[in-house]
Amino acid sequence: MKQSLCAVLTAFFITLNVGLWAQTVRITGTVIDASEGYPLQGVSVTLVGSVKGTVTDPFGRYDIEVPEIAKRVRFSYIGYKSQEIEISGRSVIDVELMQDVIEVKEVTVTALGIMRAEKATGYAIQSVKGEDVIQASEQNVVNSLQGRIAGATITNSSGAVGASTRIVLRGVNSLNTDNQPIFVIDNVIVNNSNFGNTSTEGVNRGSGITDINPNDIESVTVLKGPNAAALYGSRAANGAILIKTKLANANNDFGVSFNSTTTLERPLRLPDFQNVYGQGTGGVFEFVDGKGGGINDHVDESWGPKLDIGLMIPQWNSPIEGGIRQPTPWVSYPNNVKDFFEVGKTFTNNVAIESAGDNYSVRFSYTNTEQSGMIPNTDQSKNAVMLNTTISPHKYIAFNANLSYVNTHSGNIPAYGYSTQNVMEQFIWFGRQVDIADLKKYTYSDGSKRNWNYSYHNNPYFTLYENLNGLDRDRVFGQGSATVKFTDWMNLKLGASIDNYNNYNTARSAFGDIDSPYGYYGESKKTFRELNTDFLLTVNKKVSDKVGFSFNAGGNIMKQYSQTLLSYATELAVPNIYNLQNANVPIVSSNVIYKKQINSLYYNGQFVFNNALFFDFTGRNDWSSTLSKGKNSYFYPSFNISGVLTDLFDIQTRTLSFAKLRAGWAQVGSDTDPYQLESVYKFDQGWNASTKLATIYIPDNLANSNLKPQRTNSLEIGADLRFFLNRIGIDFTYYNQKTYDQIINLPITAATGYVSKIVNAGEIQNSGIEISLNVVPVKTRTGFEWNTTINYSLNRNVVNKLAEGLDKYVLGNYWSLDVIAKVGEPVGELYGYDFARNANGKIIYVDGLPYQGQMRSLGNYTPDWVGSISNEFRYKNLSFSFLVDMRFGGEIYSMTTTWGRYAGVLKETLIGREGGIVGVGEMLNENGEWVANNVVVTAEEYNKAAYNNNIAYSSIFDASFIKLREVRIGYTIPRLGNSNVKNVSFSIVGRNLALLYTRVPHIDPETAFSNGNVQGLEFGQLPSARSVSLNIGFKF
Amino acid sequence: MFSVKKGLFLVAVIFAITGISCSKLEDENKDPNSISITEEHPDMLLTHSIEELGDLIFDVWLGHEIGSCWVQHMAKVQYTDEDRYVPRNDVINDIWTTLYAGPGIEIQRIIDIAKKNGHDNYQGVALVLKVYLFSVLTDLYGDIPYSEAFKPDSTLTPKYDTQESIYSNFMQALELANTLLKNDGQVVDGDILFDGDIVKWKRFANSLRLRLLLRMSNKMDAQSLKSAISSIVNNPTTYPIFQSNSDNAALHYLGTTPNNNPLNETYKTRDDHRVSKTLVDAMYNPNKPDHPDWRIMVYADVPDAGGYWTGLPNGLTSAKAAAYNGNGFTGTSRIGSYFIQPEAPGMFMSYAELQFLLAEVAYKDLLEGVSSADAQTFYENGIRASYYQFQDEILEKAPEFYSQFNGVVLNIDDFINDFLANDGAWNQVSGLQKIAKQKWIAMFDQGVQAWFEWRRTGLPVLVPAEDGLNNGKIPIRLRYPSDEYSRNDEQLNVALTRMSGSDDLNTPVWWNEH
Repeated sequence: MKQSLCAVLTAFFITLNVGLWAQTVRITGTVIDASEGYPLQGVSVTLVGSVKGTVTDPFGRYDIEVPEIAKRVRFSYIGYKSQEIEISGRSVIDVELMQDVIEVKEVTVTALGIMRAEKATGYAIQSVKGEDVIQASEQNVVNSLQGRIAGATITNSSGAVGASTRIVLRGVNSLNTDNQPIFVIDNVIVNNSNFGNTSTEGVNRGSGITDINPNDIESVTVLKGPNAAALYGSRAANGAILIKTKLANANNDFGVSFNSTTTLERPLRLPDFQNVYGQGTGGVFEFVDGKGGGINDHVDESWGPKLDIGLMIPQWNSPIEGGIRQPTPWVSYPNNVKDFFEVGKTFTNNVAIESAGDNYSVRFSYTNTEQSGMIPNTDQSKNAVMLNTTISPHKYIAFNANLSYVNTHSGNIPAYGYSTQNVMEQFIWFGRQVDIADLKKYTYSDGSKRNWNYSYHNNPYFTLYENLNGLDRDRVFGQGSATVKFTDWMNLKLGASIDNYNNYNTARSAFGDIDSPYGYYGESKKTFRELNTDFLLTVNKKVSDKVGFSFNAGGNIMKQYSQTLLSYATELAVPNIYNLQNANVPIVSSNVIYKKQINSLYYNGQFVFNNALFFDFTGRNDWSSTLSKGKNSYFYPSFNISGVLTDLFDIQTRTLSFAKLRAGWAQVGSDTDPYQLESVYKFDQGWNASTKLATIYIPDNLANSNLKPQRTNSLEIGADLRFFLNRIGIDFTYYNQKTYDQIINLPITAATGYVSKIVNAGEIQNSGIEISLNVVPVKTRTGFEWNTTINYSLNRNVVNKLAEGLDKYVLGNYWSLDVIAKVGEPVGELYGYDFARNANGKIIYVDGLPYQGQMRSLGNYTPDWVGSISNEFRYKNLSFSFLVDMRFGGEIYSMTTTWGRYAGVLKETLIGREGGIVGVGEMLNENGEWVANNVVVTAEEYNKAAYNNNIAYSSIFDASFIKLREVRIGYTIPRLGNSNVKNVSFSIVGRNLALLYTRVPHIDPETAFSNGNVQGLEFGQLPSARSVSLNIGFKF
Repeated sequence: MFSVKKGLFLVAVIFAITGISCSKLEDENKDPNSISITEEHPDMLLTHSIEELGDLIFDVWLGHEIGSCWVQHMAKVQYTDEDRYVPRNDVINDIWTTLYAGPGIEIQRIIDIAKKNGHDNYQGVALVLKVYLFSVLTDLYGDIPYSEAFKPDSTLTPKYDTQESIYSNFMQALELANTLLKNDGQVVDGDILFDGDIVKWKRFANSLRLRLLLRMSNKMDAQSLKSAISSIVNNPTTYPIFQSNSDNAALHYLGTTPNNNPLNETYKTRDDHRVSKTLVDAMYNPNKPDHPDWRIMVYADVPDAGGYWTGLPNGLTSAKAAAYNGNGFTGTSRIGSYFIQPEAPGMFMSYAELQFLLAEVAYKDLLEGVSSADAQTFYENGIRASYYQFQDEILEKAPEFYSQFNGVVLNIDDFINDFLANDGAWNQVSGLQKIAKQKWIAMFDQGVQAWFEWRRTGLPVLVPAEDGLNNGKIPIRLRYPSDEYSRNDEQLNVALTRMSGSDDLNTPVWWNEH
């Protein structure tokens, strides 16, 4: 394959050397913004009546050869009114384009950064303006896409500083990857995988995209399926999100812009706690030592004595007189959890200096972000520098370089998951009478720990002030390229891009910690580097007046390298010194090197007929280091066709302004992680640190020397219809895609000596529709305008097959709940224990209590549909908008309900505290017949039987929700008086403001346990934030 | 000025710099973090497999929550599920998975390497370990994959062999091990059980064989059993067996993680167990406080709340356990600190156990040249061996509990003699009960094997847990892991059909059927 492809390319290059085309004249010129005067890049310049065209460079310059007989040239650009200009024999035509906010954009970014007329794209593309991203004031750019992209499911993991967000386009395709799209920032590919594993490390250290600075974003374009992304190769099988950063557009010597944002956060939702009963069990409690010495004083539950009725009971903070703990008032603290949270604060300041001239453009930006979380003593600060430059010293050559440096630092990030280090876990096991304010002092004068319980929990302030999870990450990414223009119809771009980070994590626990009584210290350092080397040859030629042709051919070498060094000591010799040499036990160390390379050759081309019918084709061949010899070279093509009916049949009317149909088919091949072809021994920690005997073991996963690529086939058809002079636009897409030959770890019996074997097996299908509706209901001459956008997407995911003889595949599990892929069902079945039920399907009660029955499917995390409505009102310089988004269908398991009811802290556990509870179900009477259960049990007995680790059924909820995602008020002043100060803008933005509808108690149903495929689980996630920000910006 | 040729030349240069060639791609995929499976490192595998085997068998989940609680050496004071005969599914899966995919395949790999290289001693050592490991597996579950295990290249769904055939293979394997193991200078490295002492491995091989012969004794006719036992015990030159405590197959854990005793690791952050009331009552009679079974001083602490040793009844509900004797946490005896120290040994098999097995053999007239009356000698040897095992701790603890020992030079034999004159006194009529009781006491902290022996003999007679959830019975088996139902269900069903009972905790394994 490689050889033949090379031959084709060579033949093609040779052909290009031969002059084929007719007598022409050259027209050049510059296109600028009519009001601001800055040059416009990417303006499409086309010959009227033909498909001949080009786009302007970063300086607004264009250079086009047209037939001598040509009459008129058309200039069109996103958000501007198109112009047609008579050539009249001129060789230089300079144009000023007027802004037009209503006209639908004409040019869009497609794969590989190729600008293309939107009417000429054969697949669904959706964009978000940089302004929307900046004003959303989200630290994580993915969050700002919520509700703005049809077909995207975006799940924010928590309100903790630096938390990751998962984004999935068009459903879960693959069992072995995280199914997230790639992000392409100015041609630099970054993925959104987590820094550190949230589920094992217990700390969410963010994900790849958290390092992108929203202030530098010009636009975000989402290519949803493999149709759009075939050219980015394997990694784009789940779609691609193209982020274009800002370029200088100052037409004078230089300009400076300043942007400042202040954001305040509070938890959106906390559990509803009961405040009637305090700590204890069976209604009794008396504190002696908090670990079993007193009456139920080891218990971290609230089934104790009634509060606020004048009881006096010795408590954890009661004074001790004469060695006796004195009884103190037994009273409630209804806000003890709420008061624990602080106001999260984020301050972001950005300054950008830009300059552009005839043949250069430079933009420099610096952003500082200081963030303190809602959880006490958690923080993150970021410093980001970005430089974008373009220089064209000669008309035949242009250089472009973008470079970003970001440093992210956290003194402490809160822990996650069901862990004693997670404060949310503690509040679900809590004494409702505990005065949180008094816990702030967490040591006694003798240094011993001061806490409400000594059996299971740390003092939460001790956890947050002593057990720190630090983070320091330096990241550099950028690209450089040179574009050589051979002729006006052919150029060659050579480039290289790099993404490099050093991520340094620390974790420590102080002496007296409940998990690590002798302290803990660990460090991990990961160096990651991805280097891409590219060439891209572009040919853009007209064959005849009616037929045009463009072609790109390129090659890429992608090399990934990472090195992770991890060391930790599980006991320290001296307290409070966090140095590995202070270890009191052998230090555990490991290092892992990861290398991967993919070589690729690819092409794409477009035939254009009458500037109304477009046929696109792409092909790519990858050679991946991770697949078996003989199977590591794989080719995948795509085809698209689109036709603008209104042009083809000349049926444009005032009612039907524009109609386009499109259809496409694409395939993507994917590889896997390295080192899975050959079995190995791995090193273990060894025996006896002093006279060390090295130990090795055989890993559980059986290698497979026959791995071949995983494939995705996708079919997509769509329509783009606009009515009433573009006042109503509707974009409709239907897709159907299958991913087969999945590379999965097939579970096998341990009796083989292995637990799993890596194989190619399984098929997952996603089909669905995406609808995007844009309406301008009102637009007046006085400057009032109302815009409405509705996004709707529905995806049907189904596992068609797994491996031979396998009908369930466990994606992951947590305690007794498995998240699985099951044949015939959507990926993401929540598989856990139901109550024991009789033949009538009724819950069986024995002595008034239910018990554990069979494991079965209890739900599925996949939503049925996702939608959003946004409305924007503008009157001159004033704007107001709000965005509501919603997700319907799918289930979630809530650990907060499980343990919160078991522990008697939630409001609903008040039911039956005095009179007892009769559970709904059936029991056997003396004659062995099923009758309605009528046995009264205590609320404590009932809740402990019905809500615990053995029974997941009772804590599964419908995860549907409607959220008021954003409300925004903005005011802009184009120019401040006669001064140089321009584009002054103020806005106030509220995000994640309210849950308008939910059926899940106590928690925000929009929560992610990790960034991977194990979703639909809530295990004490930190609450999501409701935020309000103030943005101020100006330019001079 | 610019030409296509120049451009193509640039492309070629850039790609030459970064390097594009298919042969190099494969080198990229050579795992730099690991050793190729084709290399041979039996020593590093041996160390690892012994440690991991010990870590599983003496870990709290199998060794104590299941073994020690079900045989009523220990009881749980909180989270009492296991003690009420509700083992966790993931624990059952873990035991199976760890034994097969951990030390199991590693020991098999040592055997394969040793066979190939003609290294008899490595092969002998690995065969003994393999039999030990599989005897635990089959005694836990019954029929299990054995002959087709560890062959992922030929079968991903190995058949379940009958326990009978597996035991028969154990005998052959141990016979072969006894032949292979020769003190001929061929060195075994990485041996953390006997430090490369081949003679001790040989003694372990034959002692283990006696244990397993007795385990299946219900299924053998008396004559062949007798000749099998006699051919070993009466041929010490060919078939050496344990001669003293110094031969004990004990993994001596080290002082620090990760090489410390697993119970020690657990007890750094947890405190879930107390000594069972059954055991405390068997060792300490408050009416005869001056003549206890002195090992109680080592096995149990006195309660925090004061008073002498007090056991916790097995299998109470958590609420009852927490409230027992005023307060279950403070009112009952913790496990003796000896057993939760980092260096506490993991006892694979002891000389004391062997003596009690021989006492039983003698008592049942299953050993040529020895009569039923000789059972007493073996019985007392067993008690002596057990006391010697804990002699330092007994001598150290005695003055703490009994003021009459203060300032006196103590001798362990005095304690042994006192015990043999009191509760430990031999009684020919109830000999089997006596032997079983003392073996049961001697095997404290060896929960798994103590539970197997109790299942075989039914002695001592144990009363099922008060709030047990197993139809009023003490479990005599583990369920097959749920993983097997999804990964090897066809073969599993063949085994289930063969085993007349259903797959539950009350289904007897082959040797336990009557």
